[in-house]
Amino acid sequence: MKASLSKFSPNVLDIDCAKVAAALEESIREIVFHRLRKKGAVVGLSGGIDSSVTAAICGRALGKDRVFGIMMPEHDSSGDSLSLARLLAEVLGIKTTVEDIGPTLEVLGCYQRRDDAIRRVIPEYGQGWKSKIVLPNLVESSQYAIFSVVAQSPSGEMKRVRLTAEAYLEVVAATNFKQRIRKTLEYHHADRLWYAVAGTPNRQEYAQGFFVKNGDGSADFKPIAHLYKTQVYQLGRYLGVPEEILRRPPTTDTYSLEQSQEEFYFALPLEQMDLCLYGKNNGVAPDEVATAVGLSTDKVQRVFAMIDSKLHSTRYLHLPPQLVEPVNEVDVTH
Amino acid sequence: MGVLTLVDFVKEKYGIPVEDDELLPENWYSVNRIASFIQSRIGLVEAAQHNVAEARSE
Repeated sequence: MKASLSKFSPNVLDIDCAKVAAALEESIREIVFHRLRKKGAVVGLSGGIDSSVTAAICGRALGKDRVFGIMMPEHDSSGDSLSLARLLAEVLGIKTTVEDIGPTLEVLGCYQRRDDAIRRVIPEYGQGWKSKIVLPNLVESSQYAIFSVVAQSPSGEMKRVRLTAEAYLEVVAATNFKQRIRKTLEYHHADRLWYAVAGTPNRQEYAQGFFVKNGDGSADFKPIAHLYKTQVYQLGRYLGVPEEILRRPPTTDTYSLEQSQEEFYFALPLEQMDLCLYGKNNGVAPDEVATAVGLSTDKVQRVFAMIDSKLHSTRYLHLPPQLVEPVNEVDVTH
Repeated sequence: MGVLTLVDFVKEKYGIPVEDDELLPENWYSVNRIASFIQSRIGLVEAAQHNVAEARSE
């Protein structure tokens, strides 16, 4: 999918959707039916573009009767998530189920642990408050990527306080329950149906480690992990994903206050991040990327440094379990 | 995470505030820079405490 690099422009990410879809479908059939020897695919449906495109392409590859969608709302989920996931399932004609993971997360203490962690820095945080964690603007300044919690009281008062290391780790550890419980349910249904679990990360997420180990990072196959986010949108349009999903701004849908992926992880709008990532991956000079993206060369260089930093710090998320000595009779290639 | 742990330690050990806009490599990327930062912040804290004490005695 490498385009000519003589003139780097936003069009460099344009794809021939028919060709890409056909290739994906063939690969998915090969992987699911032959390599994994499964009868179909389970997809967790969030109402977002990535899971929608994953479900759509799996439906075309395997047959809609061989795709099972699971919707897994919890107490902090946006109301849109469930309704959009249902809309998608209807359009695709796939079977689905709804598993409300809120009660399970309560029993595990997910919400309590998170709230206790926030109270380390905002002692008055409690019933009726909402929150999210955010990064500073890492493109505008060379500040370290240190999270703050933004909290809203029941009366609407907003507070922003930097998290201590302890509080940050505890908030993340608590919210990671959400992705891990969802994956547990996906594998439950995959086991009973003899299906493979489809992961739904796009290239930004996969490459930059924007996933939870053994949560949304876990899957039997990840059909769109090589696609840039803007390419996922192109494919979505081609595959007939509903307009409401195509228009929905990317969200983490993890915190009770709406949180964009930009605030939480990527620091740039997705179109700009995609171009920076593509440029870096293909050896395009920062000043060329800067022209295409509409940022200064300095800022692009800062983004390139952030990309490298994330690649380095999240490498462990991609590693399989580390063995002390190899077990040669186990083939983990194909 | 390493920087954040260091910042928390410095705040607690030396009783100095660290503002968000001070979380820059120029303050934290070497031992000398960290030491300079701490000294400057201690100086500010002591000056502020002195001002409060003077104001109270008037």
